[in-house]
Amino acid sequence: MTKKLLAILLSVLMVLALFAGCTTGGQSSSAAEPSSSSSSSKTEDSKSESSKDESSEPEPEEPVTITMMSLGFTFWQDDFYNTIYETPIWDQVYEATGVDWQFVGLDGEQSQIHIASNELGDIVQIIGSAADLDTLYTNEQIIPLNDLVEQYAPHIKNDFPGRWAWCCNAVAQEPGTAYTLAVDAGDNNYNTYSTRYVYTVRWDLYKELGYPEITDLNSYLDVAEDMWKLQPKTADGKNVYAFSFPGSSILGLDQDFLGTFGYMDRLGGYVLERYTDNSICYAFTDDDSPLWMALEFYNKVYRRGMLDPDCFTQTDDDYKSKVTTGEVMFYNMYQDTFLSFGQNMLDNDADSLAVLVSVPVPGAYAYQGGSGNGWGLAFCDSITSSCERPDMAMKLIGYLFSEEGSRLGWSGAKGVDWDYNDAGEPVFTDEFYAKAADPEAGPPYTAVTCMANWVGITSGQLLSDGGYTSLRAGNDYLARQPMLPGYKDFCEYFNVVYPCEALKKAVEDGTMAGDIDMTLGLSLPAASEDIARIEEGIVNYFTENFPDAVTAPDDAAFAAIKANMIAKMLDLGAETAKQYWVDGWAKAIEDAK
Amino acid sequence: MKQKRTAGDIVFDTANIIFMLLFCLLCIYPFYYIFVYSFSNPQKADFAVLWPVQPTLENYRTVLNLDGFARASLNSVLRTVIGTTLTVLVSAFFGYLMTKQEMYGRKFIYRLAVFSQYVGAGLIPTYLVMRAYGFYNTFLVYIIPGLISVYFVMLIKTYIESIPPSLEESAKLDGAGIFQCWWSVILPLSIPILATVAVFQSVAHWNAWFDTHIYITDERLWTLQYLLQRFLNTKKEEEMLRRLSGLATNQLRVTPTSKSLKLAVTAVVTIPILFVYPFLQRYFVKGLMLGAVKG
Amino acid sequence: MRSTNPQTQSRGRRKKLNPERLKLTLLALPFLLFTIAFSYVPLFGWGLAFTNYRPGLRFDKLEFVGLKYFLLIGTYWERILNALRNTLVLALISLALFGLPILFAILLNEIRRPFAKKFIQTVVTLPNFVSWVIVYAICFGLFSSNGLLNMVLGELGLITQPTQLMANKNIAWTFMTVLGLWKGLGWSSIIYLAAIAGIDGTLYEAAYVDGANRFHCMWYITVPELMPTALVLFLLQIGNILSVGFEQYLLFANSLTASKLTVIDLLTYNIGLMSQDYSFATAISILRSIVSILLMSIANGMAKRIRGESLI
Repeated sequence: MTKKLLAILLSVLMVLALFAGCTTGGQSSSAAEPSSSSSSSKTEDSKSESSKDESSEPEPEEPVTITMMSLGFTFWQDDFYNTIYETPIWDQVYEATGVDWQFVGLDGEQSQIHIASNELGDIVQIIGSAADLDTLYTNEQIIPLNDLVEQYAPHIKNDFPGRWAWCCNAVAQEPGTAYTLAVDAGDNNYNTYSTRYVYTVRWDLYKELGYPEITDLNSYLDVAEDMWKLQPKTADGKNVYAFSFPGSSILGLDQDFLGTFGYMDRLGGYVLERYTDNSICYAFTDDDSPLWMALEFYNKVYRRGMLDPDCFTQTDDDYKSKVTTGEVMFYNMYQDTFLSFGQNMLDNDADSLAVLVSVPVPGAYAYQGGSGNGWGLAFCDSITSSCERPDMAMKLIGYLFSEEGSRLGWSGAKGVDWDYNDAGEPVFTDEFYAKAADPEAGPPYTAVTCMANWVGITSGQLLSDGGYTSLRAGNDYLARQPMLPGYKDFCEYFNVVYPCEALKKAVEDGTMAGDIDMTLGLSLPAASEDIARIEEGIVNYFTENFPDAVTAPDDAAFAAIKANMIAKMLDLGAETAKQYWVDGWAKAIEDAK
Repeated sequence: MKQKRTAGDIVFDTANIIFMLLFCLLCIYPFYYIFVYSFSNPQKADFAVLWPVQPTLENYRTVLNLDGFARASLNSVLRTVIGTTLTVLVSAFFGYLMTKQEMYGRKFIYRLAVFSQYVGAGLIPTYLVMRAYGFYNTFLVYIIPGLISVYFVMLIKTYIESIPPSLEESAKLDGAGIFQCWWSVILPLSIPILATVAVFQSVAHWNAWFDTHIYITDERLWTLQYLLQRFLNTKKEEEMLRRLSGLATNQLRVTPTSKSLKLAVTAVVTIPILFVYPFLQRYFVKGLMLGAVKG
Repeated sequence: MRSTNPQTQSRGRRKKLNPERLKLTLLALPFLLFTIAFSYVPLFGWGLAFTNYRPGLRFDKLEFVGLKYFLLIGTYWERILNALRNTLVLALISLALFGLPILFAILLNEIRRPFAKKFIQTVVTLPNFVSWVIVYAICFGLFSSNGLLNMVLGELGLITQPTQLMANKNIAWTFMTVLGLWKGLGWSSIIYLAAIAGIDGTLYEAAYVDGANRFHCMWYITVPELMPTALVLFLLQIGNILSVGFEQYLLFANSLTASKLTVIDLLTYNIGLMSQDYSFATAISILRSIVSILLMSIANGMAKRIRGESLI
């Protein structure tokens, strides 16, 4: 009996296996998703579709497919990137360039494999990895771009000469030849709600206290404690802690302090640039480093009993979750999170003014939207040696780097999402606002900012038509944004259109610093093997020992632990590492001239 | 089998059952947790403790409505059923062969197999080799590489060695060849261990996603686990943010997946495979040898 | 135990190839080739440990660097020793608790009612299907400062300060072991249940006739019958001593517990994360394979001496 059963099972399975074999062969897929398929089939498409005997000035009737592969991003596979192919934005790219633009995102492991098997599509986008750039160059998988830029996209050279200089020097082995083009050059605008800024308050409690003055970290601490005392428990009886951080990474410790005290993060949260003189600060061992500032602050918080005990163990997600429910009072990292918090408070009490907001403090820095300098290794496009139509690839990149393309990327399609009003100013259309307000509409109307990492000009740059690249930076848009009552109240008090404008105004008045030169495009070289090793050791040591500093019982103990830790890290090679970065930085400044 | 139940027996049985049931409660708890969160409203999920907050089906609707869901499910089922059956048969036969001490070089072959479990070549060499074998973007990559699992072979071999040799010898006397011996005598007798292997292997197939990740770019071949895996990658997000810190992470957009959606995904991908073990439990049956020894 | 002594088959001076035995070898050949093709052929990649390979670099662009990366391992000796200590402690605890799944399977088997038995058998395997990520989330939900445990203890007035179980390095090993048991006990008992199912029923009958009670049966019949399977699994676990786990420790190791929970796999990962060191990771992998195989051979040798028969 068992034998028969097995025999039948086997034969059924053989049939199924045949079926499975056939289904991989021809058949159309269930959804017409153009966003898949290996690049080799795509290149074959473009081969068959582009004719070889075209003239040297191509304007083909058939669309040429250019596949762009991103080495390291898989967020791109989100819904947004699957639906964008059907939007006017895509259509506009095709109309302007004749290119059918396909995007493929690869994660770390997939990137390695694609490099190893030389399947990199037509354009490869390097994300934050000098090692990748070096590998691609050594493998001869990317081509020099100087001639192509000259011929098809000269504005890349002319509009932002600093960026062009950087691009030409990006590959150390061949200075003067550009192998990759960095996106996002230009000014940054302020966010609507300030992030990465230490002086955050709970607006309802701050108001209750009578808007006490904050002048520095110590006075902030007192005010924070007063606010915390007003609400020591949440609605469902859980303890509220004033401060917390996601102990799983150093970035979680000093992000707020970087921006507020005049430092820009250059690597990992520990190689920093001082705004004042563009010099390098090595956070682990420099006395004035915001990292130690942060630890000292959290130590004081701990001693007053206001620090969340989970800070050393929790992940970023746990931290955000606590902010949303109100278990942690002060937070300033991601907009989504503190907006969720505000919404939750509103759901409980329709008159609630409980929101988290940044207040201007004299002497502090106002952190602008981006982290500052637009280009560098963050997102760089290179054309692969296996690209059949480098001219079309360069046309595509050129378009994305132009004012028109950048405006498209940041603000949507002209005539659909935005247009010129009677005064000749570029503004969003009513259709755009309607879609933005509709929760079912989905991307790209509400998520256009994702294009940031593909276009050449950054969001806050003033274009030749008088509007910003991203029309979301304009007051026209900002004034129409729905705001939680708490934020409205804040704006009334400070007489501004959107919360962050309070900081912007303070910068314009001169009470706060923040007028940072964004046109300097610099980036650090890649860490050499030895430096990477030294730093891994330092990071590891720091991660395991910083809790001691945070839980020190008094000032003297803290100072002693700090001295001890710094000495130990110097032992591990911190001085050598710092010198490496200082030298690299000096060279970058030289090259940019 | 007549036997009186002593007082000791009753005490033991009661204690046993109580202990087991308590342990069961502990074991069910994670699924309760998943239930609470996956049915919660995503915006309010952080508030959930013992019961879903603002219960809703929207998370499950999102998951089930994903593009390619039906196809991916089919691929997963096919992979699990075909892959498991073939692995069981192949491993069983190999295990049987390995019990034959008289084979020339048996020790060598067996040891080579056993040690293969402890050597790993690394991502890129493995990938290049598999490509060279022609497994890129084919359904076969799900089936062939997993055909021989040495772990199972070892279990099966050990099990077969506990079968009295007299049974096989009597088949041999009747003129059966090696294959026939295996098929009619050994195989039926090793049903319990084969069922075990089937349980393990089907779970492994169902849960596998890394091979899809590396070898398959054709969406039509995606498995369900892979389709849904993208929602669950928390460590990758942290790594990415770390990689980009200090660079112009201007408008880095991460669409955070809510906890409730993540757990709904987990539920959808876990619950089907839970039925395999109960289904195969009937094969964990005693007494198959009862008649055989006497005969 | 079955065994056929090959020596008795061919006596005499002339060694003739026995066709029966050869046939068996030929039958096994495809399987051998399969194993070689999929497990050993990719090992050419081990050669990369002797070069300055970076992921994706073309092979003709490689430079030979000799033992550089192996010697580099030495520079991490402090952290490696610590990781080794952690790994071995956790592995040895696990080996010591090796008998638990067996005990569990036997207890399960003793349940009378078939429905209850099947139900419990299934339910206890459930934690195996829950990924470590979820286990971590559950633990955080239960044990964090505002978690269930602290809320309850606080309500009952038993504590003033919240407990921090996940930040406590002194109980870290215990905590990890308990979690591991909860997650894996039911699942690993499946094999033993299958083995028990295969035990000859007449053995029990005979025992009852001789007046044995169920405990005698368990000890004198069931356990010995399970020995072969248990030994093979034990041997395999010895071979795996250095691989106590990765994901579990990646999630639970934080600033406060890292010194106790960083195991070899996690250490390799941490180092590799910052330095992107493919060659280094490969070098470590080679060493681990050598250690595993060595350990297995030694254990097998010991088993041979004790039982008179080799396990592999």
